[in-house]
Amino acid sequence: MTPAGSYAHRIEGIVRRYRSRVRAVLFVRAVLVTTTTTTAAVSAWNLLSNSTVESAATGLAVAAGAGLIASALFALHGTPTLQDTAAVIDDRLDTRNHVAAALQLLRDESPMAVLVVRGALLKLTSTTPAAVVPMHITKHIAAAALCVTIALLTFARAQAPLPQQVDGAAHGDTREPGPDTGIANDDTRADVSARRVATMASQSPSTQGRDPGTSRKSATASEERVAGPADASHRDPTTSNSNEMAREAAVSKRDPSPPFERSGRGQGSGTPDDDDVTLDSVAMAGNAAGPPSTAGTGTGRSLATVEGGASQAGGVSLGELTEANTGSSALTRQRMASTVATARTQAVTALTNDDIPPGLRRYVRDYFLRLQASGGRR
Amino acid sequence: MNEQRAGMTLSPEEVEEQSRTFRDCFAHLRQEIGKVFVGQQHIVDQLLLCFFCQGHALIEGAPGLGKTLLVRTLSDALSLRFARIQCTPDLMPGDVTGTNLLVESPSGHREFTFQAGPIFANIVLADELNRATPRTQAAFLEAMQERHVTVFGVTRYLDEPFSVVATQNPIEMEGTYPLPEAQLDRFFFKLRVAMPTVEELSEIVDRTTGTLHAQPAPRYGAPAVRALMEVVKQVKVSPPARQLVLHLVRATHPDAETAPEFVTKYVKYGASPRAAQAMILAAKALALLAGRFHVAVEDVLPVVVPALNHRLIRNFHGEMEQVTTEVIVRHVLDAVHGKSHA
Repeated sequence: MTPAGSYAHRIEGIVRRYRSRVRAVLFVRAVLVTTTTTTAAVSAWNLLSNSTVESAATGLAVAAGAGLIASALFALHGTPTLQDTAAVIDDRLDTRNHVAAALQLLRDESPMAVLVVRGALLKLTSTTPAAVVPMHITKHIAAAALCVTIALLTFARAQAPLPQQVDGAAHGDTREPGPDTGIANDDTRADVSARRVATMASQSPSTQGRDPGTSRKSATASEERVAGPADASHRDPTTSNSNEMAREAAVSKRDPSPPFERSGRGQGSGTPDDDDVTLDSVAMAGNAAGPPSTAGTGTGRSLATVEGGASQAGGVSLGELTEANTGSSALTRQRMASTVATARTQAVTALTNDDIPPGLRRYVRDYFLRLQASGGRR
Repeated sequence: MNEQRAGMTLSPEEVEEQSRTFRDCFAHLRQEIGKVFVGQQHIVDQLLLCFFCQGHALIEGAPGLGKTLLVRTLSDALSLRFARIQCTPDLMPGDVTGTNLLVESPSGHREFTFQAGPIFANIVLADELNRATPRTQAAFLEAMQERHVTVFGVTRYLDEPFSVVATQNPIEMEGTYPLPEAQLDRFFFKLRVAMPTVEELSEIVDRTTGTLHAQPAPRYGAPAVRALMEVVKQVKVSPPARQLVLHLVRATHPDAETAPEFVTKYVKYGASPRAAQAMILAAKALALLAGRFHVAVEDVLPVVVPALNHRLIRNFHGEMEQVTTEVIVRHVLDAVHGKSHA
């Protein structure tokens, strides 16, 4: 092979490598775009149609596969010719059409052609395809990550019943039960879960064996704990967390009427009705306050504590609660906010420490997600 | 094929050496002409490009701008034979090409002997060519295009290098014979010499009214110049540059689908293929000057206007609205080059 032929052979190989790089970049970018788009579309569909886990996963897999295939086709179709690749290289390296000229002279044995090809070879060997044709896919990756996150969220949403489904069940929503929706139409799962949580929390070693007096103290202390995060840090995390979780679960299934009404009703009746069953359970769980009758007059304390727990987590105005119980607004808005934050932190800690039975976690989590989505308003 | 054969006789290293010589020669010419001819550097460069591409130049400018001096200095700096023909209406073709004269030998024998005209030189200055009659102008045609003249049925080849530099005065049109389009097309470049600036004028006055007269240092000679001209021809053309030239020429035709609106409005006839040849050749010389052995798009751009502006024929609207061909060419360049860049 002549020197010119050798140069020509090498430069053609190099340009082919650059072309492969261009194709790879096209493919990766297309994958990110198509997969993102299809995944987002399928996620939106899952979201709208309340798909099951299986159908959502299948849809996402099909979308991703279709995106891959489309990207491969796009990259193959969009792969430039060798001359176009040479033009791209010239453009990126600012070599003034040198590579394009050299590629055209591959079979030219004239001395000038040899000089052109040799010069182009020198320029091309001093760099790499990755440097000349970079990926530049940061935006694509960000968009893809966003869409994948959305997809995962919708996937998770499909996996667990929606918070409104839980609430609907708590309010007597009698939808058809089914394996897909996970909604029970007999006594609501929220109710059951609240009771379970309450029971478990009441069986917690730290709360067992207390006398009513202790319970009162505890109730008072509970009111005081609401006052600030500093107090909360002294609490037994197991007890307080589980108690509050139980309260939250219980309150979440209750009538969403304002706390004043709830508090007043609790004080006035003194006897357990349907709601009070849960309330008593929670009161028992949270403070070991004894039988429900004690909640009547005192109202008390256990009930106030329940309401306080709810307000902590649910963002109900603590000032209102304080008025209901004491008639004075002692807590400032700032303290309320910190209290709510503390309650959330404790709830998360409780979830992390597996204080809530696994079967009930999703209800508690959904409740907090709903609270978060609504900005703390119930 | 000739180009390839000429190239095959040299090694790449020899071609590289010749390209360096070309750059040295160009720099030498610029320097020597600069000693005599003040300013107008772009005109000097374009004239040199035209010369090394074996083309002919048409220089247009008012009297007294140094057109003749420029051409003579070029010839002197290269040690080439120079001839000047002052064109007048009574100039005959034989005065240009030469004629057969009846000559008596010392032995008393009489025979016709060809007396070569001034066209048999390396650089011919045809001063005020538009004052010659069309018949005489046609005598230049064959010499410029075919590089030979035919006198009394005998074809005589001109020496290489051969270049005609014609001048014409744009302000005195009375008693002139405007050059026909066919002849205009044979000029490689049309250059317009502008009035010098005040500083340049001051320099001209200083140089020409004193006792010292700079003389260019002669170097190279005809064989060396011929070799350099061959090197220019061997330069390769990249596909983008070629495409640009072809589209430019095509876009100057009002009936072309790629012609910009400006062309369809003001142009009657577009550029001929000679325009493409001129642009490519001049771009090759520019590439060699830039140290490259291939023509890039950047090499084409500076030569578009001088190569095209005398090859476009305006229509009635163009002449009435006094749209110059240079303006039209710049529109074409913007349209085609901008499109290719987009």
